[in-house]
Amino acid sequence: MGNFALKILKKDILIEFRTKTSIINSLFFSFIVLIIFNFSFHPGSNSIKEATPGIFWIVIFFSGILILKRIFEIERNNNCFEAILLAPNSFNSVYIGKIFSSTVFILIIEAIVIPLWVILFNITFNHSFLIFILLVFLVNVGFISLGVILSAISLTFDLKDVIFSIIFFPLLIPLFIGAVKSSEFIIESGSLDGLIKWLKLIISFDIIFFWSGYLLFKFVMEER
Amino acid sequence: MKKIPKLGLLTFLLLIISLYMVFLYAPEEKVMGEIQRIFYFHVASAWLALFAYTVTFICSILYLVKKERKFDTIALSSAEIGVFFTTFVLISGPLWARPIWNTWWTWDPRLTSSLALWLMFVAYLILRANIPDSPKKFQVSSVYAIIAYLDVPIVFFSIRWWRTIHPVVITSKHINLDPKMLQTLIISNITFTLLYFLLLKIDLKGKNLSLKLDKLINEAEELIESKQMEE
Repeated sequence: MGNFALKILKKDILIEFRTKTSIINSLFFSFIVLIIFNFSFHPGSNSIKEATPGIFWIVIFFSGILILKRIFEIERNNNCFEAILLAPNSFNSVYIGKIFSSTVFILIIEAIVIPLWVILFNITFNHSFLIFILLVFLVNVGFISLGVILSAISLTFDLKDVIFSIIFFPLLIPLFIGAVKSSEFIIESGSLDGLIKWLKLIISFDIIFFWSGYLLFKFVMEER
Repeated sequence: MKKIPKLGLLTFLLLIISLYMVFLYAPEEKVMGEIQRIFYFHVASAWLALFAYTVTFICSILYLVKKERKFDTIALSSAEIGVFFTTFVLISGPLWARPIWNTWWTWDPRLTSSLALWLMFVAYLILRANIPDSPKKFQVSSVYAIIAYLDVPIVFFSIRWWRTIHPVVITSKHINLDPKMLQTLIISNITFTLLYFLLLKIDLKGKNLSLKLDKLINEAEELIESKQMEE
């Protein structure tokens, strides 16, 4: 199963490397959003400091949605998706494979957005930067597991661009709160206990939605 | 003679009784005054909505296991009723909050959680509205309902913690209920539960009729086509 998932990852990366659409689009989009957010504050005001964690996560979630929305589109041409489903493998390996490839794409975006954000918003981390990286990984797991299954659901309708965001964002509320709150703790050096509480919330989100996605994915794929 | 619907009659009687209890039996609250009486409808609607979503969740699982359309229809009806009553909760809350808290809206944990819950199940209805009727639709909307319901406890905890980190300026006052008030609340909750079943029954009847009608129309069209072919 892991083997097949890795094959999907390899194929998606190859396609992305040759077409270069998804990543470039979302990267540029996140860059624009980062800049635009600056204009909603007075230059040098303090309120921007309070809002920076929120801005960062909004940018990541928005650009992540651009990736996740298209993650099953890659195979849409020439009915390639049917071919993948016909392959003698469980649906779950498709789910894992798609999680792998979206993780890689989103990590690439984050690797560029994080330095940009730190520079443009003048961020200094009071806790270790490594904790922040850990946080980013934890949030990615929940965000992507939920996103992949909803992206598969959104294959069923035509207006998927709009509907995908409508069905995705309400479910993300707890993850967003958790991510923003923990980033505040890391940037403003809050108590470690408070941070651990939020990380626990994020981890439970990850576990619940990874497993429910894993168990439910086959139902989304079954009827076509 | 037409049969008198027992459930409808019972709900009607209980509605009258709870109206009596809410407005005449329950004592007036000392601090808040008459406006406090909205509480009985507000809490009962919130209870009904949660109950309805639980039914949606269970029926969605049953659909995935058994693949019988009736479970999907119940899940849909129940979610519609749930959204309707969550909307009522979100409207009656501010109506009460305006004189008591002196603001229409505050990001109080419970208000915010109800709003998040409302958003999730409205999204469920929007999702359904955008897919043509097919087994695929029932399948994916069941999956979505299950995921949304699993999110409810996490939403609830995250929002509670989110607010308690910062001091809350306006807190909901702890209400120690008078026994008469408690009785009224219990009766109105029971009434609303019955109201739920009544609404569900009526809605399912309508949905089943429209399914039947669709089927008949299809048959008629096929019949017309075959006649035309013969000619």
